[in-house]
Amino acid sequence: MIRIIGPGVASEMITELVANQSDILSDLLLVNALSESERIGFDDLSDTVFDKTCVEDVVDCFSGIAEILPSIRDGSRIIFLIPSAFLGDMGCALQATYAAMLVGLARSLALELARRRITVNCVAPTLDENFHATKKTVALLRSETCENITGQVFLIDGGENLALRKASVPT
Amino acid sequence: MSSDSTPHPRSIQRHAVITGAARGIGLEVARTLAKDGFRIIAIDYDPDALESAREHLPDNAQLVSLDITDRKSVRKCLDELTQIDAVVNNAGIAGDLLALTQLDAESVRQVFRVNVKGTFIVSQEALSRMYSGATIINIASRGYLGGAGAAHYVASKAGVVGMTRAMASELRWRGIRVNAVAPGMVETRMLQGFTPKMKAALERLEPEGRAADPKDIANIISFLASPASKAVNGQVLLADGGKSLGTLPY
Repeated sequence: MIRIIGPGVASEMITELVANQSDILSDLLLVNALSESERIGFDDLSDTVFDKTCVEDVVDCFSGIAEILPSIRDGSRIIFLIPSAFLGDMGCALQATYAAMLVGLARSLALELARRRITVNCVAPTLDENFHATKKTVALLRSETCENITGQVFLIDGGENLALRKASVPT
Repeated sequence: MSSDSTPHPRSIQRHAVITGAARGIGLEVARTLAKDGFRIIAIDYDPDALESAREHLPDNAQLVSLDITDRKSVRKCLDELTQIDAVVNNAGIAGDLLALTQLDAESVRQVFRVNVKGTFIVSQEALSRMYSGATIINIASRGYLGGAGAAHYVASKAGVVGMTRAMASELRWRGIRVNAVAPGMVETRMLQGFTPKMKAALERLEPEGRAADPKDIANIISFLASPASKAVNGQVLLADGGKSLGTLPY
C-alpha cells in the first residue's frame, strides 16, 4: 500500500511522484513535509507562524506516522519530503528548523525500525526544478538496491547548496 | 564582516544571558562566564533552584525565574538591559524516553515548545540588544544525530542545529555569531531518570568510561563567547569525547 501523509504543499505533484509504482513487494509511507519557500527574516518571524510550522506540523507528522506504523509491513519504506533549505540560509530559519527537526525524526525512526528492515530516508528537493530527479530518487529508494540505505538525506537542488546563493548576500 | 554591521556601543561591562542556569551545565556556564568578566543574567524556570544557585554566582548576577516559552516574561526581563553580548540557550527538557508509537502528542509538543520555541523566543528578544561582536550559543545534543526511543528529543535538538545554521547565515552581516554545542553524556539532572544499572551501562559506552563534567562543556562555551573564536560561525561543536565517531570500545 502507498500512503501519503503530512502537512506539505504541492499535493498534485506529490501524487504524481508515486504514480505507477508497484506496492506488491513493500509498503511506502510518503511524509510530505514540503512547505512554501517564502523567505522570512529571523527578526520578522511571528510566534503564530513558528508554532504552526515548527511545533504543530511536526507534532502532526509524529502522530500520523505513529498511527500508520503498526500496519506497515516489514521491509517497507518511509520517505520524508522536506524543504531543501534544511542546511540553513538567509531568511530560512523557519524552514531550516522545521526540516532539521524532520531529519532528526527520520534518523531516530530509522534506528527504531531497523530490526523490521523498514528504511527511513529524507529527500530534500527543489521540486519545481527537479521533479523528475525527485521522482527517480523516490523510486530508487523503494527498490531492493536501497534496502540497506537508511537514515540519510538526499538533497536534490542541482548543487545549489554548494555555492553561496545570491539571496545570501544582503543588498 | 560587512561595513553596515552595527558598531559595538559604549558599555565596557559585557552581559551574558544564560537560560536553564540554576543547575548543571547552565550553572557551570554562568560561573565560568562570570570569571571571564561577564555580568550574568541567570534565567531558570525553577525559583527554588535559582535561589540555591545564588551562592555560586557573583553578587552582581541577576537571577530571574521565568518560563522561556512566555514571550512577555522574556521581553520584560531583557528590557532592563541596554546591551547583551552573549546568549547561551541552555534550557531544555528530555521528555519521556519512549518509542515513537508510545509517545503522546502533548509530551512531544512540550519538548518542542521548551527546546525549540524557547530558543527562538530568547534569541529573537535578545537580538534587538545585541551588536557587532556579540554571540549566541545554542546547546544542542549529540543526540541530534539520531537516537532510538527519543525521537521527539532528537527532533528538537536537530531543530536547534538547523536554526543555528540559518541564524548564523543571516546574522553574520550584523557581526553576530551563532554556534551550537552538542554535548554527549554529561553529569546533570537529566541522568537522574536512569537507574544506577542503566547509567553504569551507558557510561561504559562513553569513550572515557564516564559522563562528562558540566565544567567541560562550560569551557567550550567560554571559548565560543570570547573573541578568540571570532572565525567560528554557524558550527556545531560535538562535545562527546569522540563517541559520535561511532567506534565501539575495545
